[in-house]
Amino acid sequence: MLSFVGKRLGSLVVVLFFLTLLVFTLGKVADSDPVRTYVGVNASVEAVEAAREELGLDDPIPVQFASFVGGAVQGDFGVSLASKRPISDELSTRLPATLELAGWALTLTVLIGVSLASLYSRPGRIGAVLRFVFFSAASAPSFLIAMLSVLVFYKWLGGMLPAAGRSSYGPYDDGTGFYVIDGILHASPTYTWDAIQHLLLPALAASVGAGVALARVLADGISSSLSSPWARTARALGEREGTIVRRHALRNASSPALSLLAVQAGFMVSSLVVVEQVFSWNGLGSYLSSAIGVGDFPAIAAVCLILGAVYVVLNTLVDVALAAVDPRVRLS
Amino acid sequence: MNRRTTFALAGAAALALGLSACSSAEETLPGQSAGSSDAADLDTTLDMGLSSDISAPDPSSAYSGSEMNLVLAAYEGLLKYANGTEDAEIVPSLATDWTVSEDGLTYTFTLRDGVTFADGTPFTSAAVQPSVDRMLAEGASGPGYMVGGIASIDTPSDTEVVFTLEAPNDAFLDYLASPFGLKMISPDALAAHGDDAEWFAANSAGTGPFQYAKFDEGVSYELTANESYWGDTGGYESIEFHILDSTNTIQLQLESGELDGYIGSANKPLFDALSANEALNAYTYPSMMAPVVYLNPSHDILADAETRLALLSGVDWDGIVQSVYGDLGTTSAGVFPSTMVDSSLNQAGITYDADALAALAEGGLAGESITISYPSYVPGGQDIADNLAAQLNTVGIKAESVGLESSAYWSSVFDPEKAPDITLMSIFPDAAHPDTWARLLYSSEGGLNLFYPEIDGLDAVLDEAVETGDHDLYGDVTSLVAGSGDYYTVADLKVSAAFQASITGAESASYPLLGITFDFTQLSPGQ
Repeated sequence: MLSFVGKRLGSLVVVLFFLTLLVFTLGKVADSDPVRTYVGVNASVEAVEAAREELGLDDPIPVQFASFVGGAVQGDFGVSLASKRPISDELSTRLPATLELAGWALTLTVLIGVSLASLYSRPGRIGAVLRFVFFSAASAPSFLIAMLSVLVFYKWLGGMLPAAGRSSYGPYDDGTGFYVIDGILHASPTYTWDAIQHLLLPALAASVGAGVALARVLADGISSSLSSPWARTARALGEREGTIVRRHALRNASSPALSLLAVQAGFMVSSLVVVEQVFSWNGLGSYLSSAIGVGDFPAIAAVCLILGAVYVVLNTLVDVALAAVDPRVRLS
Repeated sequence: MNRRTTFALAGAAALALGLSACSSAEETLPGQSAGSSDAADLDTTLDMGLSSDISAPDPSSAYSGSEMNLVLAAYEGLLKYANGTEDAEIVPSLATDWTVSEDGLTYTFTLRDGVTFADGTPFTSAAVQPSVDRMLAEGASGPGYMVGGIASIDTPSDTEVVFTLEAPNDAFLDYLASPFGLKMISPDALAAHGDDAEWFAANSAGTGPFQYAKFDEGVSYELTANESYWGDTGGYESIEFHILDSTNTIQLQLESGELDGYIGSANKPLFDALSANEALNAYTYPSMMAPVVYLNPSHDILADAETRLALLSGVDWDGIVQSVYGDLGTTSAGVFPSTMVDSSLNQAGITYDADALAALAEGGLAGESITISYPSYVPGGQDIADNLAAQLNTVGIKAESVGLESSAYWSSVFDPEKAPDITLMSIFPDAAHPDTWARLLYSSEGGLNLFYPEIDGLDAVLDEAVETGDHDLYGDVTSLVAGSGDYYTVADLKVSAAFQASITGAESASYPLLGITFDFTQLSPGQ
């Protein structure tokens, strides 16, 4: 297993290099002039040209690429053209925000998937109605779910859950950036509960579609497992139905479900871009969204690198988990 | 997972929660000492919503709209524009009095006595030169030009400073009064952090009524009252600017009372929605922001000035302005914002001719198609471009409007091959002097002279006007610009804001140049 993980992490370097090359090429091919973002709309022609030179935008593209990669290797992504702050500083606060939201969204995805799996395969009209509802929820775009949830839980239910931000209190100066963990570390139930409340709606919006998809795969897997010969044997030996589902069928069905979860995690990253905007969540998604709008290329490239790394690591973890739950899977 | 493991995990979770609950009596929240509560100061914190993040609020280089509210709350210049007025009237700030020599080269200021910076350093004339030096260095690509023409600075006493200019500049007082203009910075802070832009992005060292406190970048920016302020800091002990990416969220939080106020642009749908809420007071403020339409004379179909002028006169601008801006806009009569230049000198003379477009459709623009672009961030930009395209299409001139993100927009308008036939920009001047508007838009080297048309003699008139201070010459500028058909100033805009109904003082808190910059000392929580 260690060798497998080592190889995967080794491949991360290659993936990130080509990802950087791709993002850089797209940035240069696209019609984009970010200098006004940096100097201000009213800047004189001389100021614009001076800034272009200062930012190295007049350099040959290979030189710009080498300069960016050289800095990125040392963790220096340069300065954001929009905010004029060091990008690495901005990422250090935004990465934990996105990871915390993604972690909660993935957890909710699993909870929704496992909870709905049994309902999904219900026979008869009730099952058909439930499947229709699940299909509708899964096909609704995450921004729609996000906006609806704000309307319901913030506006109509009198601010039952917050509509924006990560906390009512801001970050702890010595915090990890993961607000729920920070609340626990500082022994503050008020802060912890507040952070959880802020997490619920965005995590729900990001997880509904993935959760229903997971439920479908799990339900199909459980259904086919329960009709297999070994299930009949287990029943004949007097095993209770619930035990057969929990101890045997669910485990058999979890292999394709985990594979799906890895794919959904990738999609979730893209849906977080929208969800973070709706909830003013100060993460990588909202950062990327605003950076694209103004052509803040160094910020775009840095976020893509980080998200690429997260995606590869996540897939590696899922592969390891697959081998753990299904002995037929061998890591190689 | 077997039953034993499940019980173990549940027990651990219960223990963690129990421990947290046990220690709740001594819990500490960010920004508080143990056991304290923030309940007491809730009413004296002004919570403002911002619809996008701000750039670093550095007093020497800040050069766009939103961050100026932070800069102006923490720093002061020698002069300022009076708040709550229609016209931009220059009034004292850190200078109580000033004189200008007859040759227009020497400006002598008497400084306010008894003022200290927030870091405790006394404000004297010794602060002027280092503040100018830092603005020249850090603001070189932005507002630094406003102090660029100073030949020397003399300080005969602690309360007197004398600027000698390299050449007469009628706009110099406006430069000093502009929100983007020179701000006084503590010499001690400059000595310690002068070239450290990161320090000035998060810390303040000015004489203003507030000072930068806790910045959670991208989320919120808190300012607290400057206890040593020489004047009245108003009714709030702190201001917190919350970054909310969506105006829908801002509207919801205003309606729920979570936010106290929001200063917007000329956004009619949002203004209408907020005006309809009885718990809120919605306000409009004059500004010198204006949407300007540029016609591209380097494209064959618009190369002829008569065609351009016919097109401009054939558009029902009143209808467009009314439908896009409603009460927030008035159709412009001139080329300058209406409060910048006397109306007798600011008449473009383009009157609506309902038959002009039809004539063009059968004449100079027969069979042609026109592209109208706009940057997506311009308030009402899409609506104006769509309306304009619709009017052209109605008479048979094929036209389409194209919205572009800002970086794509800037890439296209300056490229002769990709430039559109017509484009729309929202303009705000750096100061209330007509030279800043005309030089930015119309001079041959203007930063926002988008298609680079050159109008014969215009630069010379501008130079003469700013050197002599003869404002009648801006009448000549109006004639030259309007006659070219290269530009059309669409409307004079008001910006809008909404505050909780209990908050007082908002009606006169806005500075007139941008409208979106406020004197927060005017506001009080009310009863």
